[in-house]
Amino acid sequence: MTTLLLSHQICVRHEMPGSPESPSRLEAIEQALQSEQFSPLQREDCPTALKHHIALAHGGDYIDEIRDLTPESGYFRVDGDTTLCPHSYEAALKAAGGAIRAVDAVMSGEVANAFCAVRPPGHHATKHQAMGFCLFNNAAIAALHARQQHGAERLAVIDFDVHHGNGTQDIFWDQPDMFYGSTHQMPLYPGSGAVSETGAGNIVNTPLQSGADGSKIKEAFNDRLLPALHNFSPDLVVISAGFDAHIDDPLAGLRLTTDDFRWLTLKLAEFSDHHCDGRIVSLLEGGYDLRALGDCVATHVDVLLDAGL
Amino acid sequence: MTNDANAPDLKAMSFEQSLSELEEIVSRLEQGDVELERSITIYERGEALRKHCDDL
Ligand SMILES: [Zn+2]
Repeated sequence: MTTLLLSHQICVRHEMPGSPESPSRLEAIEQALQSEQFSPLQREDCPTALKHHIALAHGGDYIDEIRDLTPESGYFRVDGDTTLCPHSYEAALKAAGGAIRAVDAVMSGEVANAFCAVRPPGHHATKHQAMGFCLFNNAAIAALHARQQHGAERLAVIDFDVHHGNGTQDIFWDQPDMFYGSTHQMPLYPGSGAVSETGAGNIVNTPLQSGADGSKIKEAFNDRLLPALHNFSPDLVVISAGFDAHIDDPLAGLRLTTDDFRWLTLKLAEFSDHHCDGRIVSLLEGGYDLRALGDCVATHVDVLLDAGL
Repeated sequence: MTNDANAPDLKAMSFEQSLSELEEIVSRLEQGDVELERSITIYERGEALRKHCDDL
């Protein structure tokens, strides 16, 4: 079996003037996934998510709110970080649609695992609020769709983006069958993610101090996240794959190397292999140094491809 | 709101001034009252203030 790679041209057309969350991020990834070693990937365009998919994480009216805020021309500013252009709504529906298709393909055994090279990212979008570059919470939608559509009972989201996924935590807060585990720099945007935030016992936050390197995140994985994941025993692992903890990233102060991201991916692939038939759906979140982003995604997808063989 | 570009030069700041700006920064970061894009700049200003306080 192979790895499914989902993306869509519309995701490149969502643009926020002056923002580091730029269309060139996806172009850098596309470039990085050109080489021969990636020819076994099953490449597809994201389908469009439907209203009931978005409603899984955000309730019924939220999708219409985002649609109504989307301008016909020019821009609409949601917050200091998040701007809608005329293509943003459609791009967000493709990003979430990629997550839905990835779950369908992985849960049905059509592919071993999947990576979605999509934007806007999702993990800051709370039940009712778009923020921090995020409109729809793709990871939460993926996990909740696996439960609703595929009978999966226990779903886990592991988030190694350098920022805390306050949105995913918010959506999973009182749902004991939905696990959220995060490594992130703290203090940093969005301010949440303390160890004491545990929800219904289903949330494990492992904050790291600025300057922390690969050894610290490996410690967090080995000592806290992986044992908790093991206890939780998920039917599918969803990865909120942000690569902004890289040492070259301009938006944060952690010091991970590309090789550290290989290690993180290997550990999650190893875990999934033993506990849920290798089922992984990985979704792009942050990562703002274009070169590091391309390298990290190539490494991440390389491990997923290997794991699927 | 702290404007990073116009933030006062650390060398000219007293311990009291540095500490009060640092406290304001820590509380803003904890409340999420900072944009994602500028969060690291403000955090780094906080680190510099912390170091300045330690050195005084
Ligand atoms: Zn991030």
